[in-house]
Amino acid sequence: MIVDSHIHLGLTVSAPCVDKSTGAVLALMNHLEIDLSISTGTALIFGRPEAGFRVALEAYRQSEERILSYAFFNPHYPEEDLSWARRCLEHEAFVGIKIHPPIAACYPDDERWNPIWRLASELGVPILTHSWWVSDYNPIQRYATPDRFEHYVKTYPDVNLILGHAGGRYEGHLAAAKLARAYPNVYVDFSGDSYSFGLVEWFVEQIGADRILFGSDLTMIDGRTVMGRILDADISAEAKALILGENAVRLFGLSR
Amino acid sequence: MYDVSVAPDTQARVGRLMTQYREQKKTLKFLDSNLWLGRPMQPGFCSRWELNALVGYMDRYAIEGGIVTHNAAVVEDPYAANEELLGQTEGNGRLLSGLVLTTDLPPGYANWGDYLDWALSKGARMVRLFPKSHRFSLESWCSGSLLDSVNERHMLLTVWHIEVGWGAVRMLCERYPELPVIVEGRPQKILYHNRFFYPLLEQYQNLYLELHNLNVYLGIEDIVRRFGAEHLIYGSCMPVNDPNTSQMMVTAARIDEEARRQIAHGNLESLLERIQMP
Repeated sequence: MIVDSHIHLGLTVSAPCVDKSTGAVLALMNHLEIDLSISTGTALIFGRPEAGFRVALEAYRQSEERILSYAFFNPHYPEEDLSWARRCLEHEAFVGIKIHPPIAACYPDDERWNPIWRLASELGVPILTHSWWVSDYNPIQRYATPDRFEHYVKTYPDVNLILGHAGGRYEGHLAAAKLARAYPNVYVDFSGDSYSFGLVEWFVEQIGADRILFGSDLTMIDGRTVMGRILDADISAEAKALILGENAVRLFGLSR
Repeated sequence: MYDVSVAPDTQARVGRLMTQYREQKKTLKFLDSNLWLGRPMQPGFCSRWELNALVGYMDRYAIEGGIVTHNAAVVEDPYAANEELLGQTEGNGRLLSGLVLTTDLPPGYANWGDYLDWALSKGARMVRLFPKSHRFSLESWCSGSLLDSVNERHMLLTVWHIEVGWGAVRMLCERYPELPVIVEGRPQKILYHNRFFYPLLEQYQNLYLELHNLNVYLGIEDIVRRFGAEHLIYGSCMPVNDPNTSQMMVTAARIDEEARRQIAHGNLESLLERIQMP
Protein backbone atom coordinates (compact mmCIF):
# COMPACT_ATOMS: atom_id res chain seq x y z
CA MET A 1 0.00 0.00 0.00
CA ILE A 2 1.32 3.47 -0.88
CA VAL A 3 0.24 6.22 1.51
CA ASP A 4 0.68 9.96 1.14
CA SER A 5 0.47 11.17 4.72
CA HIS A 6 0.62 14.92 4.08
CA ILE A 7 -1.80 16.56 1.66
CA HIS A 8 -4.20 19.50 1.76
CA LEU A 9 -7.65 19.89 0.34
CA GLY A 10 -8.90 23.39 -0.33
CA LEU A 11 -7.45 26.68 -1.41
CA THR A 12 -4.82 28.94 0.16
CA VAL A 13 -5.09 32.29 -1.55
CA SER A 14 -1.36 33.05 -1.50
CA ALA A 15 -0.65 29.74 -3.23
CA PRO A 16 -2.46 29.68 -6.57
CA CYS A 17 -3.83 26.22 -7.20
CA VAL A 18 -4.48 24.82 -10.67
CA ASP A 19 -7.34 22.59 -9.55
CA LYS A 20 -8.27 22.21 -5.89
CA SER A 21 -11.00 19.61 -6.46
CA THR A 22 -11.05 16.25 -4.76
CA GLY A 23 -11.52 14.69 -8.19
CA ALA A 24 -8.18 16.10 -9.38
CA VAL A 25 -6.43 14.79 -6.28
CA LEU A 26 -7.95 11.36 -6.82
CA ALA A 27 -6.93 11.33 -10.47
CA LEU A 28 -3.33 12.06 -9.52
CA MET A 29 -3.43 9.46 -6.75
CA ASN A 30 -4.59 6.91 -9.31
CA HIS A 31 -1.93 7.96 -11.79
CA LEU A 32 0.84 7.61 -9.17
CA GLU A 33 -0.70 4.44 -7.66
CA ILE A 34 -1.20 6.08 -4.26
CA ASP A 35 -3.77 4.07 -2.31
CA LEU A 36 -4.50 6.43 0.57
CA SER A 37 -3.85 10.09 1.35
CA ILE A 38 -4.27 11.97 4.59
CA SER A 39 -5.37 15.58 4.27
CA THR A 40 -5.58 18.68 6.38
CA GLY A 41 -8.25 20.85 4.82
CA THR A 42 -7.37 24.51 4.49
CA ALA A 43 -10.75 25.46 5.95
CA LEU A 44 -9.80 23.61 9.15
CA ILE A 45 -6.39 25.30 9.26
CA PHE A 46 -7.70 28.79 8.66
CA GLY A 47 -10.51 28.91 11.16
CA ARG A 48 -13.62 27.44 9.52
CA PRO A 49 -13.85 24.13 11.38
CA GLU A 50 -17.41 23.30 10.42
CA ALA A 51 -16.72 23.79 6.71
CA GLY A 52 -13.46 21.88 7.06
CA PHE A 53 -15.22 18.99 8.74
CA ARG A 54 -17.78 18.82 5.92
CA VAL A 55 -15.09 18.95 3.22
CA ALA A 56 -13.19 16.12 4.91
CA LEU A 57 -16.27 13.91 5.13
CA GLU A 58 -17.24 14.65 1.54
CA ALA A 59 -13.71 13.78 0.35
CA TYR A 60 -13.83 10.55 2.36
CA ARG A 61 -17.12 9.64 0.72
CA GLN A 62 -16.17 10.74 -2.79
CA SER A 63 -12.85 8.91 -2.63
CA GLU A 64 -14.49 5.72 -1.36
CA GLU A 65 -12.58 6.05 1.90
CA ARG A 66 -9.18 6.69 0.27
CA ILE A 67 -8.77 10.29 1.43
CA LEU A 68 -8.51 10.42 5.21
CA SER A 69 -8.05 13.53 7.32
CA TYR A 70 -6.33 15.19 10.24
CA ALA A 71 -8.18 17.23 12.81
CA PHE A 72 -6.64 20.64 13.48
CA PHE A 73 -5.90 22.68 16.57
CA ASN A 74 -5.12 26.39 16.95
CA PRO A 75 -4.00 27.09 20.55
CA HIS A 76 -5.59 30.54 20.53
CA TYR A 77 -9.05 28.97 20.32
CA PRO A 78 -8.56 26.08 22.73
CA GLU A 79 -12.15 25.32 23.68
CA GLU A 80 -13.64 25.53 20.20
CA ASP A 81 -10.79 23.73 18.43
CA LEU A 82 -10.46 21.04 21.07
CA SER A 83 -14.15 20.38 20.81
CA TRP A 84 -13.92 20.18 16.99
CA ALA A 85 -10.84 17.96 17.16
CA ARG A 86 -12.68 15.57 19.43
CA ARG A 87 -15.72 15.59 17.19
CA CYS A 88 -13.59 14.99 14.07
CA LEU A 89 -11.69 12.14 15.66
CA GLU A 90 -14.91 10.36 16.56
CA HIS A 91 -15.35 9.81 12.82
CA GLU A 92 -13.37 7.04 11.09
CA ALA A 93 -12.26 9.46 8.35
CA PHE A 94 -9.98 11.22 10.84
CA VAL A 95 -6.79 9.45 11.86
CA GLY A 96 -4.55 12.13 13.39
CA ILE A 97 -4.13 15.76 14.43
CA LYS A 98 -2.33 18.51 12.54
CA ILE A 99 -0.74 21.56 14.20
CA HIS A 100 1.02 24.50 12.54
CA PRO A 101 2.90 26.66 15.06
CA PRO A 102 3.97 29.42 12.58
CA ILE A 103 0.37 30.02 11.50
CA ALA A 104 -0.56 30.43 15.16
CA ALA A 105 2.68 32.35 15.90
CA CYS A 106 3.04 30.20 19.00
CA TYR A 107 6.25 28.36 19.86
CA PRO A 108 5.89 24.55 19.88
CA ASP A 109 6.88 24.28 23.53
CA ASP A 110 4.30 26.85 24.66
CA GLU A 111 1.94 25.59 27.36
CA ARG A 112 -1.04 26.49 25.17
CA TRP A 113 -0.36 23.40 23.04
CA ASN A 114 -0.77 21.09 26.01
CA PRO A 115 -4.52 20.38 25.55
CA ILE A 116 -4.04 18.90 22.07
CA TRP A 117 -1.14 16.73 23.17
CA ARG A 118 -3.28 15.48 26.03
CA LEU A 119 -6.08 14.67 23.58
CA ALA A 120 -3.68 12.85 21.23
CA SER A 121 -2.45 10.82 24.18
CA GLU A 122 -5.98 10.03 25.30
CA LEU A 123 -7.12 8.93 21.84
CA GLY A 124 -3.86 7.32 20.75
CA VAL A 125 -3.49 9.27 17.50
CA PRO A 126 -0.35 10.82 15.98
CA ILE A 127 0.29 14.55 15.62
CA LEU A 128 1.60 15.95 12.36
CA THR A 129 3.29 19.31 12.67
CA HIS A 130 4.79 21.75 10.23
CA SER A 131 8.52 21.99 10.95
CA TRP A 132 11.07 24.26 9.29
CA TRP A 133 14.11 26.43 9.91
CA VAL A 134 14.54 30.20 10.04
CA SER A 135 15.83 32.13 7.03
CA ASP A 136 16.20 35.82 6.25
CA TYR A 137 13.20 35.72 3.96
CA ASN A 138 11.08 33.47 6.15
CA PRO A 139 11.52 34.58 9.79
CA ILE A 140 8.09 33.30 10.89
CA GLN A 141 9.62 29.82 10.75
CA ARG A 142 11.23 30.51 14.12
CA TYR A 143 8.01 29.02 15.48
CA ALA A 144 8.68 25.69 13.77
CA THR A 145 12.24 24.63 14.51
CA PRO A 146 12.42 20.93 15.46
CA ASP A 147 14.29 21.50 18.73
CA ARG A 148 11.31 23.38 20.19
CA PHE A 149 9.16 20.24 20.01
CA GLU A 150 11.31 18.37 22.51
CA HIS A 151 9.32 19.46 25.53
CA TYR A 152 6.10 17.75 24.44
CA VAL A 153 7.81 14.79 22.77
CA LYS A 154 9.42 14.09 26.13
CA THR A 155 6.28 14.80 28.16
CA TYR A 156 4.09 12.55 26.00
CA PRO A 157 6.23 9.56 24.98
CA ASP A 158 3.06 7.72 23.96
CA VAL A 159 2.23 10.33 21.30
CA ASN A 160 3.96 9.94 17.95
CA LEU A 161 4.97 13.27 16.40
CA ILE A 162 5.58 13.62 12.65
CA LEU A 163 7.89 16.51 11.80
CA GLY A 164 6.36 17.51 8.47
CA HIS A 165 8.99 18.65 5.95
CA ALA A 166 11.67 17.04 8.17
CA GLY A 167 12.80 20.45 9.38
CA GLY A 168 12.54 22.16 6.01
CA ARG A 169 16.08 23.37 5.42
CA TYR A 170 19.59 22.05 6.08
CA GLU A 171 19.88 23.18 9.72
CA GLY A 172 16.32 22.06 10.31
CA HIS A 173 17.13 18.62 8.90
CA LEU A 174 20.02 18.31 11.36
CA ALA A 175 17.74 19.33 14.22
CA ALA A 176 14.97 16.97 13.09
CA ALA A 177 17.35 14.02 12.88
CA LYS A 178 18.78 14.88 16.30
CA LEU A 179 15.33 14.89 17.86
CA ALA A 180 14.36 11.65 16.11
CA ARG A 181 17.55 9.94 17.25
CA ALA A 182 16.83 10.94 20.83
CA TYR A 183 13.12 10.05 20.91
CA PRO A 184 11.53 6.95 19.34
CA ASN A 185 8.18 8.72 19.06
CA VAL A 186 9.49 11.20 16.44
CA TYR A 187 8.90 10.65 12.71
CA VAL A 188 9.66 12.83 9.69
CA ASP A 189 8.14 13.30 6.24
CA PHE A 190 9.74 14.73 3.09
CA SER A 191 6.82 16.88 2.00
CA GLY A 192 7.36 20.42 0.80
CA ASP A 193 10.32 21.69 -1.16
CA SER A 194 13.27 20.26 0.77
CA TYR A 195 15.05 18.95 -2.28
CA SER A 196 18.64 18.68 -1.04
CA PHE A 197 20.89 16.28 -2.88
CA GLY A 198 21.32 13.12 -0.79
CA LEU A 199 18.65 14.06 1.75
CA VAL A 200 16.71 10.78 1.59
CA GLU A 201 19.85 8.67 1.98
CA TRP A 202 21.12 10.90 4.80
CA PHE A 203 17.91 10.59 6.82
CA VAL A 204 17.75 6.83 6.38
CA GLU A 205 21.31 6.60 7.64
CA GLN A 206 20.59 8.91 10.58
CA ILE A 207 17.29 7.59 11.91
CA GLY A 208 16.54 4.41 9.95
CA ALA A 209 13.82 3.92 7.35
CA ASP A 210 11.08 2.93 9.76
CA ARG A 211 10.26 6.46 10.95
CA ILE A 212 10.17 8.24 7.61
CA LEU A 213 6.91 8.87 5.78
CA PHE A 214 6.01 9.76 2.24
CA GLY A 215 4.22 13.11 2.21
CA SER A 216 3.69 15.33 -0.81
CA ASP A 217 2.12 18.59 0.40
CA LEU A 218 -0.44 18.28 -2.36
CA THR A 219 -2.26 20.54 -3.40
CA MET A 220 0.36 23.17 -2.66
CA ILE A 221 3.24 21.24 -4.15
CA ASP A 222 3.37 18.53 -6.79
CA GLY A 223 3.92 15.15 -5.12
CA ARG A 224 5.97 13.81 -8.01
CA THR A 225 8.87 15.89 -6.67
CA VAL A 226 8.90 13.70 -3.57
CA MET A 227 8.03 10.31 -4.99
CA GLY A 228 10.81 10.37 -7.59
CA ARG A 229 13.43 11.06 -4.94
CA ILE A 230 12.32 8.10 -2.86
CA LEU A 231 11.97 5.68 -5.79
CA ASP A 232 15.44 6.49 -7.11
CA ALA A 233 17.25 6.87 -3.76
CA ASP A 234 20.30 4.78 -2.94
CA ILE A 235 18.49 2.85 -0.22
CA SER A 236 17.17 -0.69 -0.11
CA ALA A 237 13.90 -1.78 -1.71
CA GLU A 238 12.64 -2.64 1.79
CA ALA A 239 13.37 0.90 2.98
CA LYS A 240 11.50 2.39 0.01
CA ALA A 241 8.44 0.24 0.76
CA LEU A 242 8.53 1.32 4.39
CA ILE A 243 8.75 5.01 3.51
CA LEU A 244 6.19 4.93 0.73
CA GLY A 245 3.53 3.16 2.73
CA GLU A 246 4.22 0.54 5.33
CA ASN A 247 5.31 3.01 8.02
CA ALA A 248 2.10 4.98 7.62
CA VAL A 249 0.01 1.80 7.75
CA ARG A 250 1.60 0.95 11.08
CA LEU A 251 1.59 4.49 12.51
CA PHE A 252 -2.01 5.34 11.67
CA GLY A 253 -3.32 1.82 12.16
CA LEU A 254 -4.50 1.68 8.54
CA SER A 255 -5.58 -1.58 7.05
CA ARG A 256 -7.87 -2.39 4.19
CA MET B 1 11.52 -1.61 16.00
CA TYR B 2 9.21 -2.49 13.14
CA ASP B 3 9.92 -5.69 11.24
CA VAL B 4 11.32 -4.59 7.87
CA SER B 5 9.98 -7.68 6.14
CA VAL B 6 7.02 -5.69 4.88
CA ALA B 7 4.03 -6.83 2.91
CA PRO B 8 5.27 -8.30 -0.37
CA ASP B 9 2.71 -6.50 -2.48
CA THR B 10 4.03 -3.08 -1.45
CA GLN B 11 7.61 -4.09 -2.05
CA ALA B 12 6.77 -5.62 -5.40
CA ARG B 13 4.83 -2.55 -6.47
CA VAL B 14 7.54 -0.15 -5.32
CA GLY B 15 10.10 -2.28 -7.16
CA ARG B 16 8.05 -2.11 -10.35
CA LEU B 17 7.52 1.65 -10.05
CA MET B 18 11.24 2.17 -9.43
CA THR B 19 12.27 0.12 -12.47
CA GLN B 20 9.68 1.81 -14.65
CA TYR B 21 10.79 5.26 -13.49
CA ARG B 22 14.47 4.60 -14.11
CA GLU B 23 13.69 3.28 -17.60
CA GLN B 24 11.61 6.35 -18.38
CA LYS B 25 14.47 8.60 -17.29
CA LYS B 26 16.88 6.86 -19.67
CA THR B 27 14.43 7.06 -22.54
CA LEU B 28 13.91 10.79 -22.11
CA LYS B 29 17.64 11.63 -22.38
CA PHE B 30 17.56 14.54 -19.95
CA LEU B 31 19.58 17.61 -20.85
CA ASP B 32 20.15 19.74 -17.76
CA SER B 33 20.26 23.54 -17.98
CA ASN B 34 21.21 24.00 -14.35
CA LEU B 35 24.33 22.16 -13.17
CA TRP B 36 26.91 23.55 -10.74
CA LEU B 37 30.58 23.15 -10.03
CA GLY B 38 32.69 24.38 -7.11
CA ARG B 39 31.94 24.56 -3.41
CA PRO B 40 28.78 26.42 -2.38
CA MET B 41 28.98 28.74 0.62
CA GLN B 42 26.04 27.18 2.43
CA PRO B 43 26.25 23.67 3.86
CA GLY B 44 24.45 20.71 2.31
CA PHE B 45 24.56 16.95 2.12
CA CYS B 46 26.73 16.81 -0.99
CA SER B 47 30.46 16.82 -0.32
CA ARG B 48 32.00 16.55 -3.80
CA TRP B 49 31.85 19.48 -6.19
CA GLU B 50 34.53 18.82 -8.78
CA LEU B 51 33.87 18.07 -12.44
CA ASN B 52 34.52 14.34 -12.22
CA ALA B 53 32.03 14.01 -9.38
CA LEU B 54 29.42 15.95 -11.36
CA VAL B 55 29.85 13.69 -14.37
CA GLY B 56 29.46 10.70 -12.05
CA TYR B 57 26.22 12.14 -10.69
CA MET B 58 24.97 12.71 -14.23
CA ASP B 59 25.59 9.05 -15.04
CA ARG B 60 23.92 7.95 -11.83
CA TYR B 61 20.77 10.01 -12.42
CA ALA B 62 20.47 9.46 -16.18
CA ILE B 63 21.33 12.98 -17.27
CA GLU B 64 22.93 12.90 -20.70
CA GLY B 65 24.41 16.38 -20.81
CA GLY B 66 23.95 19.92 -19.63
CA ILE B 67 25.12 23.42 -18.94
CA VAL B 68 27.29 23.95 -15.89
CA THR B 69 28.16 27.12 -13.97
CA HIS B 70 30.89 27.71 -11.37
CA ASN B 71 29.69 28.68 -7.88
CA ALA B 72 32.71 30.94 -7.38
CA ALA B 73 31.59 33.02 -10.36
CA VAL B 74 28.52 34.05 -8.37
CA VAL B 75 30.20 34.91 -5.08
CA GLU B 76 33.85 35.66 -5.85
CA ASP B 77 35.42 36.51 -9.21
CA PRO B 78 33.20 35.86 -12.24
CA TYR B 79 35.94 36.16 -14.83
CA ALA B 80 38.51 34.01 -13.07
CA ALA B 81 35.87 31.38 -12.27
CA ASN B 82 34.39 31.51 -15.80
CA GLU B 83 37.86 30.96 -17.22
CA GLU B 84 38.51 28.06 -14.87
CA LEU B 85 35.17 26.55 -15.84
CA LEU B 86 35.79 26.94 -19.57
CA GLY B 87 39.20 25.34 -19.14
CA GLN B 88 37.64 22.34 -17.45
CA THR B 89 34.69 21.83 -19.78
CA GLU B 90 36.28 22.66 -23.15
CA GLY B 91 36.11 19.61 -25.35
CA ASN B 92 33.86 17.76 -22.91
CA GLY B 93 31.29 16.06 -25.07
CA ARG B 94 28.54 16.31 -22.46
CA LEU B 95 28.98 19.67 -20.77
CA LEU B 96 28.65 23.24 -21.99
CA SER B 97 29.29 26.30 -19.84
CA GLY B 98 27.17 28.99 -18.27
CA LEU B 99 29.00 32.28 -17.69
CA VAL B 100 28.29 34.65 -14.84
CA LEU B 101 28.70 38.25 -16.05
CA THR B 102 28.36 41.71 -14.59
CA THR B 103 28.45 45.03 -16.42
CA ASP B 104 32.25 45.18 -15.93
CA LEU B 105 34.07 44.24 -19.09
CA PRO B 106 36.43 41.30 -18.49
CA PRO B 107 40.09 42.26 -18.07
CA GLY B 108 41.86 42.58 -21.42
CA TYR B 109 38.70 43.03 -23.50
CA ALA B 110 37.57 46.27 -25.13
CA ASN B 111 34.04 45.10 -25.95
CA TRP B 112 31.54 42.39 -25.05
CA GLY B 113 31.45 40.87 -28.52
CA ASP B 114 35.09 39.81 -28.43
CA TYR B 115 34.73 38.25 -25.00
CA LEU B 116 31.52 36.38 -25.82
CA ASP B 117 32.95 35.08 -29.10
CA TRP B 118 36.01 33.81 -27.27
CA ALA B 119 33.81 32.18 -24.62
CA LEU B 120 31.53 30.64 -27.25
CA SER B 121 34.55 29.08 -28.93
CA LYS B 122 35.43 27.51 -25.58
CA GLY B 123 31.98 26.00 -25.01
CA ALA B 124 30.01 28.79 -23.29
CA ARG B 125 26.34 28.92 -24.29
CA MET B 126 24.53 30.59 -21.39
CA VAL B 127 24.90 33.90 -19.55
CA ARG B 128 23.69 34.21 -15.98
CA LEU B 129 23.07 37.66 -14.48
CA PHE B 130 22.65 38.52 -10.77
CA PRO B 131 21.72 42.23 -10.84
CA LYS B 132 20.61 42.41 -7.21
CA SER B 133 23.58 40.60 -5.64
CA HIS B 134 26.09 42.18 -8.03
CA ARG B 135 24.54 45.62 -7.84
CA PHE B 136 23.68 46.69 -11.37
CA SER B 137 20.56 47.41 -13.36
CA LEU B 138 19.17 45.56 -16.36
CA GLU B 139 18.08 48.88 -17.86
CA SER B 140 19.77 50.00 -21.09
CA TRP B 141 21.67 52.83 -19.44
CA CYS B 142 23.51 50.32 -17.27
CA SER B 143 23.71 46.96 -19.06
CA GLY B 144 22.61 47.79 -22.60
CA SER B 145 25.87 46.92 -24.38
CA LEU B 146 26.20 43.61 -22.50
CA LEU B 147 22.61 42.56 -23.21
CA ASP B 148 22.80 43.73 -26.83
CA SER B 149 25.85 41.50 -27.37
CA VAL B 150 24.24 38.48 -25.70
CA ASN B 151 21.11 39.06 -27.76
CA GLU B 152 23.02 39.34 -31.07
CA ARG B 153 24.43 35.88 -30.46
CA HIS B 154 21.14 34.41 -29.22
CA MET B 155 22.92 33.03 -26.18
CA LEU B 156 20.67 31.80 -23.38
CA LEU B 157 20.06 34.40 -20.68
CA THR B 158 19.22 32.94 -17.27
CA VAL B 159 18.02 34.92 -14.25
CA TRP B 160 16.67 34.06 -10.80
CA HIS B 161 13.32 35.65 -10.08
CA ILE B 162 14.45 36.98 -6.71
CA GLU B 163 17.40 38.72 -8.42
CA VAL B 164 15.38 40.61 -11.01
CA GLY B 165 11.64 40.60 -10.23
CA TRP B 166 8.95 39.79 -12.78
CA GLY B 167 8.76 43.36 -14.09
CA ALA B 168 12.37 43.12 -15.26
CA VAL B 169 11.69 39.70 -16.79
CA ARG B 170 8.93 41.33 -18.82
CA MET B 171 11.21 44.18 -19.83
CA LEU B 172 13.87 41.74 -21.08
CA CYS B 173 11.35 39.67 -23.05
CA GLU B 174 9.85 42.80 -24.57
CA ARG B 175 13.12 44.48 -25.47
CA TYR B 176 14.80 41.36 -26.88
CA PRO B 177 12.18 39.13 -28.52
CA GLU B 178 14.87 36.90 -30.07
CA LEU B 179 16.70 36.39 -26.77
CA PRO B 180 15.73 33.25 -24.81
CA VAL B 181 15.07 34.41 -21.24
CA ILE B 182 15.10 31.51 -18.76
CA VAL B 183 13.79 32.07 -15.22
CA GLU B 184 14.97 29.81 -12.40
CA GLY B 185 13.41 29.60 -8.96
CA ARG B 186 16.55 29.65 -6.90
CA PRO B 187 17.03 29.92 -4.00
CA GLN B 188 13.31 30.40 -3.55
CA LYS B 189 10.83 28.31 -5.49
CA ILE B 190 8.70 29.88 -8.19
CA LEU B 191 5.84 27.84 -6.93
CA TYR B 192 3.02 30.27 -6.15
CA HIS B 193 4.22 32.79 -8.76
CA ASN B 194 1.66 31.69 -11.38
CA ARG B 195 -0.06 35.04 -11.20
CA PHE B 196 3.14 36.66 -12.47
CA PHE B 197 4.34 34.19 -15.05
CA TYR B 198 1.05 33.08 -16.61
CA PRO B 199 0.39 36.51 -18.19
CA LEU B 200 4.02 36.67 -19.28
CA LEU B 201 3.89 33.21 -20.90
CA GLU B 202 0.79 34.35 -22.74
CA GLN B 203 2.58 37.40 -24.12
CA TYR B 204 6.17 36.33 -24.73
CA GLN B 205 7.34 33.38 -26.80
CA ASN B 206 10.92 33.93 -25.64
CA LEU B 207 10.18 33.30 -21.94
CA TYR B 208 11.19 29.90 -20.53
CA LEU B 209 10.77 28.45 -17.06
CA GLU B 210 13.34 26.06 -15.65
CA LEU B 211 11.90 23.15 -13.72
CA HIS B 212 13.93 22.43 -10.58
CA ASN B 213 11.77 24.62 -8.38
CA LEU B 214 8.68 24.90 -10.57
CA ASN B 215 6.89 22.48 -8.32
CA VAL B 216 3.35 23.73 -8.68
CA TYR B 217 0.77 21.00 -8.12
CA LEU B 218 -0.37 19.92 -11.62
CA GLY B 219 1.73 22.83 -12.91
CA ILE B 220 3.38 21.12 -15.86
CA GLU B 221 0.11 19.75 -17.19
CA ASP B 222 -1.55 23.16 -16.84
CA ILE B 223 1.28 25.13 -18.47
CA VAL B 224 1.48 22.67 -21.37
CA ARG B 225 -2.28 22.80 -21.84
CA ARG B 226 -2.41 26.60 -21.81
CA PHE B 227 0.84 27.61 -23.48
CA GLY B 228 2.37 24.49 -25.01
CA ALA B 229 5.43 22.53 -23.91
CA GLU B 230 7.84 24.97 -25.60
CA HIS B 231 8.27 27.17 -22.54
CA LEU B 232 9.59 24.53 -20.14
CA ILE B 233 13.26 23.59 -19.76
CA TYR B 234 14.54 20.75 -17.61
CA GLY B 235 17.01 21.79 -14.92
CA SER B 236 18.05 20.14 -11.67
CA CYS B 237 20.33 22.50 -9.72
CA MET B 238 22.47 19.44 -9.04
CA PRO B 239 24.37 18.85 -6.83
CA VAL B 240 22.63 21.34 -4.56
CA ASN B 241 19.35 19.59 -5.24
CA ASP B 242 18.29 16.06 -6.06
CA PRO B 243 17.62 15.86 -9.82
CA ASN B 244 14.74 13.46 -9.26
CA THR B 245 12.70 16.38 -7.99
CA SER B 246 12.13 17.67 -11.49
CA GLN B 247 12.73 14.43 -13.38
CA MET B 248 9.62 12.67 -12.10
CA MET B 249 7.57 15.78 -12.77
CA VAL B 250 8.42 15.12 -16.42
CA THR B 251 8.36 11.32 -16.57
CA ALA B 252 5.02 11.14 -14.74
CA ALA B 253 3.42 14.22 -16.28
CA ARG B 254 0.09 13.52 -17.92
CA ILE B 255 1.11 15.05 -21.24
CA ASP B 256 1.90 13.43 -24.57
CA GLU B 257 5.24 11.80 -25.23
CA GLU B 258 6.41 14.51 -27.62
CA ALA B 259 5.78 17.21 -25.00
CA ARG B 260 7.72 15.14 -22.47
CA ARG B 261 10.69 14.89 -24.86
CA GLN B 262 10.56 18.62 -25.54
CA ILE B 263 10.76 19.44 -21.84
CA ALA B 264 13.40 16.82 -21.03
CA HIS B 265 15.82 17.82 -23.79
CA GLY B 266 14.22 19.07 -27.01
CA ASN B 267 13.54 22.67 -26.05
CA LEU B 268 17.05 23.24 -24.73
CA GLU B 269 18.57 21.55 -27.80
CA SER B 270 16.59 23.86 -30.07
CA LEU B 271 17.76 26.93 -28.21
CA LEU B 272 21.38 25.78 -28.37
CA GLU B 273 21.09 25.22 -32.13
CA ARG B 274 19.97 28.83 -32.60
CA ILE B 275 23.08 30.33 -31.03
CA GLN B 276 25.17 32.36 -33.48
CA MET B 277 28.67 30.96 -33.27
CA PRO B 278 31.65 33.21 -34.11
